Amino acid sequence: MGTGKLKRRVGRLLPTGDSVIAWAGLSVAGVVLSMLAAFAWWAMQSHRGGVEHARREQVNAVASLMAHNAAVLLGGSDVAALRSLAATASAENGLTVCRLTLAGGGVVVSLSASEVATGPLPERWQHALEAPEAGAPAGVVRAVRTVPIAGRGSALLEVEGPIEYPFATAWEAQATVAAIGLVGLCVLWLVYRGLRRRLGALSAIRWALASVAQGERSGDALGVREDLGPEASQWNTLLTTLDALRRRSVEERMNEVGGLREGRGSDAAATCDALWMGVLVVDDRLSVRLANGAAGALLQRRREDLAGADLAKAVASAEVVGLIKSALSGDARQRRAVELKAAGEGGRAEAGVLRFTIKPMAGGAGRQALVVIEDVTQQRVADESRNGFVAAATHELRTPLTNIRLYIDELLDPAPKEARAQEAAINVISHEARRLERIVSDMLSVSEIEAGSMAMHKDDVRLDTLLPELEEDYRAQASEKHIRLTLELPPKVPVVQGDRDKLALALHNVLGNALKYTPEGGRVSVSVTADPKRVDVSVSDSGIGVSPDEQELIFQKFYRSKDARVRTITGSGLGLALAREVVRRHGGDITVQSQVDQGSTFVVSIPVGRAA
Amino acid sequence: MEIQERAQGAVTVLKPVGPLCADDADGFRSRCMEATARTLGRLVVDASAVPYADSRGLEVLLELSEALGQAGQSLKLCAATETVREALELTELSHLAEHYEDVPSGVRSFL
Repeated sequence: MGTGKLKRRVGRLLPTGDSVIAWAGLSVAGVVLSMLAAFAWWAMQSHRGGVEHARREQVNAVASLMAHNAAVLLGGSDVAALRSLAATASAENGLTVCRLTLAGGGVVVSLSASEVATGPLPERWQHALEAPEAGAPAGVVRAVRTVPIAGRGSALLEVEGPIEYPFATAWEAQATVAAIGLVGLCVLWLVYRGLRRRLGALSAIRWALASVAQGERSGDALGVREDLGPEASQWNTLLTTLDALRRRSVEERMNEVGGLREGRGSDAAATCDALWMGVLVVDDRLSVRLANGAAGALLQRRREDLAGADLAKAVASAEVVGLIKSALSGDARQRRAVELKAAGEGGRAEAGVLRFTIKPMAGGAGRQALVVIEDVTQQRVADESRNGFVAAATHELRTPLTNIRLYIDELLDPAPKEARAQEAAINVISHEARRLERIVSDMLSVSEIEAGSMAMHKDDVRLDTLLPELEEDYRAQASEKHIRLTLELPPKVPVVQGDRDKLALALHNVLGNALKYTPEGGRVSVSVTADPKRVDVSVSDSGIGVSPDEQELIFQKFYRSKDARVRTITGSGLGLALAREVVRRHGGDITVQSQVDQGSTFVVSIPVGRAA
Repeated sequence: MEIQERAQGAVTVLKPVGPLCADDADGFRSRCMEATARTLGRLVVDASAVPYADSRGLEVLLELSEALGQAGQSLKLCAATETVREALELTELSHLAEHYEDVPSGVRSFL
């Protein structure tokens, strides 16, 4: 086993963190308690020694006193006084034995009456004394004295007394020691709490560092409680700073790799800002990491407010937010798109139709979603227009085709028919065929204009020639309805530049409409005014007129007036739309002034000397 | 200065009539910015009725171009007169706008 491995194993056995403080506290407490116990034991032993010494001194003093008195009293044969003195001394000094034995036997004085020899004291007795017995048992103090009695012999005085330890004194000493120990433990506990509070932050930071070593990077996981002290606050501040630096580093790396950087000054940023569709990058915290200028314009937010904003504040649509969340969660791995109507400023009007395309993408800082926003309003308007065109065209074509089929069926019927009826049927077929031709021609012209493929053959157009031809074409139709058709030309009409056929078509439609919507007996007049810049061709009629609400609508394709009288008159609704487009292609315009039941005046303005 | 406005599909067409000069230019700028905000930038300027523009007029065109450019959009100038085109080219501002021969062409650019 290597040294390093051994150190690591030993290190794991050693207390760490908070346990360091706990172990230190317990150790100090153990030492203090041991010292207090040793002190208490020493104090008890010292006390016991003192008590024993004092008892021994007392017993020895009593023995010496009794020996002196015994020598005097026995010399005078006053045994009774000696016995009385022994009883008194024993009672006062707590003696259990006070015995005087003559040499050669015979107990003269004893606290036990049964030991005392009866009879008078001998006059003389021997001097030789027997050796005293072994020492006193534990807990007893014994004193032995040889008492020489002058002229009569020797005696042996034995005095014993028990050693009594004062219990109360020992208990007080122990209580004092215990109190000191308790106070010491309390002080130790307070010191421990203080140290723990002081070192708790360091311990928590140490654990956080251990987590970092194991791969943890989340600032939330590595943070420590702020109430642990200033070190904890500084550690958390350090984590926040590191997190910000890491995020910035990731952003810069992402921007460098992906070519998307918010700030200006790089090709990638310029490219992003030059995009006409909005671009948002949303991170897994549902925060907008990047927004280009077009995104701000399309979402009707300030670009500065978008960067770093919550997704819900940046994008109002819950559907789009849901798709983005789905992309960020990994549920949706493919590109998904949704089209929404964007509310106008203040939510009052509809600003347009936006298409949101959401695609998940891998980023340096986790999962991200790319959101591309496109304004498809014009496309949708064109789609609706195209669909309406097809529907209206189908309707317009069906009516003459139905008439043609019915009259052909009638002509093919083998049943005999009158010549006038056959002629009428053929006329209807011819009329409807011309109507079909006109509708198809108008539709083709409108389609060409909308597609931008209408060819304009620039040439000199002499209106003073074109308009009389037009008048001639419509004179028969005017006569049928008893309409007075007039043409007023100034002495000199400027030559305009443009496509003669297209201008003829536009004027044809305007004049044809005037005749169509003017009742029998009415009037239609065509007049021309000119200046060096433009020529105005005015077509006035005494027809049914156009309400103010419809004066702009009648120039839309397939629009038919809601006036009930118009419903009885056939028409494709393309004539005025086509005429205006043609004139506008020439740089001019068509305007209308009209009153219901009073008539209308359409003015075709054509610039002089200019054609598109 | 009269500024005519009409809608062509979802596109707003603004047609200033008269010289683009001085205070008129500021009014034109305001109308353009208002229309841009209202239509998310679907705006076409029909310059066929602008005979000329002074320095303030050109400056307004520059400001409009920059404002639209920040949103990834561009100023669409249709049927500009020869005088206006020459003024833009002489001041090297011609590249700031997309030029179209006529309004329908400008409108079709939104498709």
